Amino acid sequence: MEPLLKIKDLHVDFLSYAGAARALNGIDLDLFPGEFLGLVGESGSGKSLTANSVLGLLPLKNAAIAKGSILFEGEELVGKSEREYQALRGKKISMVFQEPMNALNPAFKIGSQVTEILKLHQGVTAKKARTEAVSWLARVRIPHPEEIMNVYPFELSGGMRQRVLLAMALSCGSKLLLADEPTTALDVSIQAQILRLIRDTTDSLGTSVLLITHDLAVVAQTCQRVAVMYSGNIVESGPVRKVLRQPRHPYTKALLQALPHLDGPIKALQSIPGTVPNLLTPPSGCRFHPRCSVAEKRCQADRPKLLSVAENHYVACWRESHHV
Amino acid sequence: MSKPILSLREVVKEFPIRGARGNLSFRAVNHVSLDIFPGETVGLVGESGCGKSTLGYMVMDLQPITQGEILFEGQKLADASKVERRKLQAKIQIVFQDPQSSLNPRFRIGQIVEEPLRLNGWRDKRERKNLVLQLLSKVSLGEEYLRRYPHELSGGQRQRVAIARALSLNPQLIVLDEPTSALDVSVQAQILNLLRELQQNLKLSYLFISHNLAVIRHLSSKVAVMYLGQIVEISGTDDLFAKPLHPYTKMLLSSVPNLNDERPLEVAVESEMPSAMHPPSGCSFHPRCPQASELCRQFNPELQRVNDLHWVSCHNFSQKEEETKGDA
Repeated sequence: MEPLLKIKDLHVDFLSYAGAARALNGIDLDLFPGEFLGLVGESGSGKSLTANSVLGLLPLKNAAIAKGSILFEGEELVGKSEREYQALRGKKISMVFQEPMNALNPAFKIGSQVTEILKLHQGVTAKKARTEAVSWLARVRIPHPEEIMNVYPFELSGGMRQRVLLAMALSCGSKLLLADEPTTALDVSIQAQILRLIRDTTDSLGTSVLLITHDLAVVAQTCQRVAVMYSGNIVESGPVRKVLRQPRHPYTKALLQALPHLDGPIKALQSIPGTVPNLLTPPSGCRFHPRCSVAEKRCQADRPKLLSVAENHYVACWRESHHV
Repeated sequence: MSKPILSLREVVKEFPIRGARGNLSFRAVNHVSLDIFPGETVGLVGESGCGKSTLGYMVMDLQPITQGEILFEGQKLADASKVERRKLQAKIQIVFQDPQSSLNPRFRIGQIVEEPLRLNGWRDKRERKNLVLQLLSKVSLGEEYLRRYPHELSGGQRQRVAIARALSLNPQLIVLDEPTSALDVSVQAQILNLLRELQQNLKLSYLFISHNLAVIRHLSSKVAVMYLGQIVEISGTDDLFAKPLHPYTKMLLSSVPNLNDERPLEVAVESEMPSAMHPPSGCSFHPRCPQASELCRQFNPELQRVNDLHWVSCHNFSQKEEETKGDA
């Protein structure tokens, strides 16, 4: 099967007075039609940046794609003009953000914001757009959708706002939904509702989802496949069960051991020594080597490639590539 | 059993509603009673707006209480004179969620940790400096940090500074208000391990406030679950996670994503938490509760004893208990 989204060797630089910071250091990622893929990592690992690069949302002044390609339905996105991106955003690729309050315009009613995107992309009349908007609000299980059309974003709870954004994101038939920490600002019971809703609606529409999160437990219970990022690289990817049960990369292993659990015996948590590297002066070779407990000489010198260790399971670690 | 170090007795906190006609107010904390014993960690868990932080602030005397009383080592905080109160209050310290905003950006790390000492009668400058160094080493920060500013530190290091400051006056109780929520998991693990180690070495008691159940479970010996200003269930940690009794606790536990579970998340209730401005009648959880009955709609249940450590406020629980008694 052809991937819907194919990111190849993507490098993104941020330019600052102190020099260029390589924030994405050669990302390879495939997303297949109808797939639910989790992208996890700690803050600053580049997961949001990956999604923003896909949608052409990099800050023009100081960020640039230095190398690599992003293919969506076989079409190259790198180098597209703003106008071309606008035709794509919301229609074929949509995004929901962490803070729904910031993503909605506080000065306009929900109705006008949901109908705007329908009028723009579908070219339908105001009346038709309104009935369609109401049905979309109902579809994301907003109670009394007609009344909600006439309220302002501040009158809604965080969970309801996120539902509105999801309705907007899916209303024009997007093939790909980029969900950037969509539930991080929400309470757990609401988080469960929203995650379930994203899964149910995208399932029925056949939309692919790239779920960006820092929470491995969320990945465990929502995604089919997961990619783990560290300092601008994907260090491991594979089916959720494999990556979380039999992690192969030392960073994935360390991350899992640092997490407190909801069941099982309570053990001392293993923290990862050191801190996330400064992107202006990243470590040579494998960017994780200064914090890695099993680092060898080779890890300092050369960067390991993301290679297959089992079916669909890829790891970027020198200790693994020996065995292949 | 020893005496509690801190006791809350029927504590109520009401905030006036500005602009409202008459004396309208909104009850953030509603008749909460809680004991914390020396050396133990009591976890306080609940969703945003349930009143868990307000409770922490009242313990810290950052918010005056409306009704009820707070006793520290058997002494009523409200009865203490100003001087006494200051001394008592020094034994209770707090660590906030966001170290970026809880540390003064214009102070150097040394000054930040020294400040409580300076304000509480440590006159000798050299002695103070030695103490500061000792405190920093307790949180694994070296001498080189003394002259740095908070912005030069990472989030985890800043939280260490906040902990060192909280330790400066030899407290007996530390209120930890979401101390790791702003941190990445690898750093969270460092801070949780540090807190645990400090507790063992210094015989501290913690009131640990968090919305993260896995973190609460990791650190607490006892857990209180709050919903709309009330404690709905309180229990020993193992018991609570193994046998939750209140429908809200069950809902909370089933909605938290679990790393060891690959099944899709359950959605127990499709509704949201009602506004504390207009709390529901009777049991505050009844509009979301799958087992709510007429009784629940009319009367607010009291906390009932399950065993010495486990208490729950649910009408349905007592019925069940009576049934089993009838069987026996």
